[in-house]
Amino acid sequence: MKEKINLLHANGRTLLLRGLARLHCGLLAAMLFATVFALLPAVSLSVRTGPVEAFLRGLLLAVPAALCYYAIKRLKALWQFLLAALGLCALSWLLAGHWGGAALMAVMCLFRVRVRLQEEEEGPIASFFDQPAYPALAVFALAFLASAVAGLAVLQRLSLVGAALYLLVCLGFHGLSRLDGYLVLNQGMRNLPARRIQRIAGTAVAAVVLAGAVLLLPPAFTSECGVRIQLPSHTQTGKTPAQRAEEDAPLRLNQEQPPDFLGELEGPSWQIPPIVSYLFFGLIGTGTAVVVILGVVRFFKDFSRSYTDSRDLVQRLTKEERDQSAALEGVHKRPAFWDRSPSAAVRRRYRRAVLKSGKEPPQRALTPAEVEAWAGLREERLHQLYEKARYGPEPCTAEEAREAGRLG
Amino acid sequence: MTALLLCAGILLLALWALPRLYDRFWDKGLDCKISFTQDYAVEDEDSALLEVITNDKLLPLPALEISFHMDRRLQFGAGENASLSDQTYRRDVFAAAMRQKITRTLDFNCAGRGYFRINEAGLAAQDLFLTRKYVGSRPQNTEFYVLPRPVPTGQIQIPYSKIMGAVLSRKRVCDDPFEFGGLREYSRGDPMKYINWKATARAGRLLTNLHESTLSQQVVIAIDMEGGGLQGDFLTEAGVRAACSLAERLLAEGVELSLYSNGGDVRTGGDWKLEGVSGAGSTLFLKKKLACLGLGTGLPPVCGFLPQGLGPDGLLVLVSRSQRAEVAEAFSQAVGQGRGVRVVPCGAEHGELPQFSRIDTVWMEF
Repeated sequence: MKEKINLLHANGRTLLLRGLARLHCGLLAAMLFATVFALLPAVSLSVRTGPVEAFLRGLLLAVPAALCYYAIKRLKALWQFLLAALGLCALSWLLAGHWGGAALMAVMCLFRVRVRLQEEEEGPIASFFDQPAYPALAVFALAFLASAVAGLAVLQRLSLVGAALYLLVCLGFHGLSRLDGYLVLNQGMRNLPARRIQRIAGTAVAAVVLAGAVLLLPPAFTSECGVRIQLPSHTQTGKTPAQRAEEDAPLRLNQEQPPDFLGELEGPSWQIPPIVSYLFFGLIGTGTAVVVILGVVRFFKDFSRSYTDSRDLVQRLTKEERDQSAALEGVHKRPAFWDRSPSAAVRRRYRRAVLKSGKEPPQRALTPAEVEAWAGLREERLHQLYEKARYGPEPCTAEEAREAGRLG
Repeated sequence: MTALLLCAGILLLALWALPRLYDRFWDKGLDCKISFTQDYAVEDEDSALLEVITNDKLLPLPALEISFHMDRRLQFGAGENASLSDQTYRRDVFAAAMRQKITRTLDFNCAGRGYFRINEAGLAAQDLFLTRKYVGSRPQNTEFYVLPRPVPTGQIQIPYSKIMGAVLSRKRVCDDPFEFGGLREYSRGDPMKYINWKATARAGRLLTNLHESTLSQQVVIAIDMEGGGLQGDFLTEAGVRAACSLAERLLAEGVELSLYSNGGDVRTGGDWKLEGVSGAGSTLFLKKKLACLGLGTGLPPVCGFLPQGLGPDGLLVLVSRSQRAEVAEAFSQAVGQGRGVRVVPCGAEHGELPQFSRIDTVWMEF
């Protein structure tokens, strides 16, 4: 496996980033095709391809997009790339099933050539095709708007699912690229615990993507998709609300029907028996649950054991060490949030005054007088009130708290 | 649609809240301790520095940078993780998971004599997604001495013989009450204060302590720390090594020493001097003191730091690479009616120095 990765001149992390970048191209192409193929019947043009099929086949454009990336990087002469571009356009046409795929690929190839020519003069340039961007979510928003205006429930669902997927791709890509950037920046550093940094930050990114998937995808798939926008021209026809309701009735009926993605595709009349589907999804669900549980157990086990990594001895803190540290923390503990006594108010005022004067927190070992000298705070009365609140045998009075408020 | 918006809201809230959690708690339970594994080492020896990071909280810190300033005479590996100027700025990256303690040992070579101290360590932590950086510091309190390397016996023999010759010619042996030599039976006339009461009680008869003798004559060593240029610094350092080796052997012989220098004390920031040292047990203290001796340019003449009124029995030793006439004259005046030995660290070739009647000159080639 490592040898194959070496052939691509990248490590696993970089390959994952490249995969996400290609997925971003695929998702955008898919949404574009689905919108076009959903809207064409609305302008009385008959098409054989449905929006779901167009969406799924559009996702396949991630493959020629990846080939295009490697072609522009590896082929030395431009004429070689142009020849390859022809092949990529043909492949895109085959995968998409219409000329739109070839056209998109041609545009991508042209941009790639332009970027390469620029790179020869200006150095590396980040291409739009190589990094998902949050503003691109506008494509899905536009598709959603179009579906709401035209009353296309299927397109609406596709736009929601596509937007959720694209958001997850963005989250994953940007999280990983920050991690990759940090590790590349510090790769010359000796004793860099790259594996542990990757494990902690990578797990966090994966957890966010997983949480996002769990939170967004099920509601996106099961959404009723009944959002509809009434254009103003529609109200000027002079029809009563009852008449409009009658006209909208077929659309609502259409929306209330359960989503049937497979129905959009032309396929054999024989269908898989429901028991097989239940069994399949049951197995997938159980397998996923087992993998997640094992992963979580392994994750926490890794963090709880002691081991040596390069020159680092990594140990789990013992209870004694934690108690000792907690005792030290207790010495410097601030008054609790719910402590509304005058003494606590004085201490809060004093802290705010010190932070305001000193701009940053002082060292913990300093006495109040040293802290004030460090921060340049010259309020003798505030000092006295603080000492009374912090160390005095008697608590501060409400009047003293008010006085501290005026001083601080 | 409502469920989707609600879920998206939850996700956004979580993504918004996490950085705030880090803003608030990034340094909670976070501690960093830097310490040298040894108290001291000799020039050219290897030693180690320990960095201990403790993260006692549930928020992991995927990238935690520890930085501190260190003198360039302590060389870590092949200049790894360090940027060099007049000091080394060292930066190390750790990955601290929740409730973890990480100990890293950094080996270094003691390339030069000196006193080294780390007062503060800088912390720069990043949040879980490496989007935000938090900066802080932790006070440190660790110090390390690099003692002068001893000069080979053959090289030090000539100046040592000159000094010992001058010392022995005025020899008066006294008991050194701090150097225990053994026990013997009490005899009439022994001072009461030398009776060892514990040993007496154990043996059932009066026993008195025997002390090592010390030579009554005091030797004063003056070390000129005027540096300047690569060769100047090298020869001055060679002079410190020579002075250290001489002092060590003189202490072993029971001679009482006083040392003065025009280089300041880098530990205290004041003048450097060491008065009335005797006994072989003081060797480590002397070496540590020499480790704190600062090198510089444009220093005042070393003879100005010597005590006034060196008697006819006094022996003054000057260790200086300087071959200037004014240094020789000032030294001659400081010697006065006593005796002087001038040790001059030099290269392969050296010129002639003005001769004075009460001063012996020894060239030491390095």
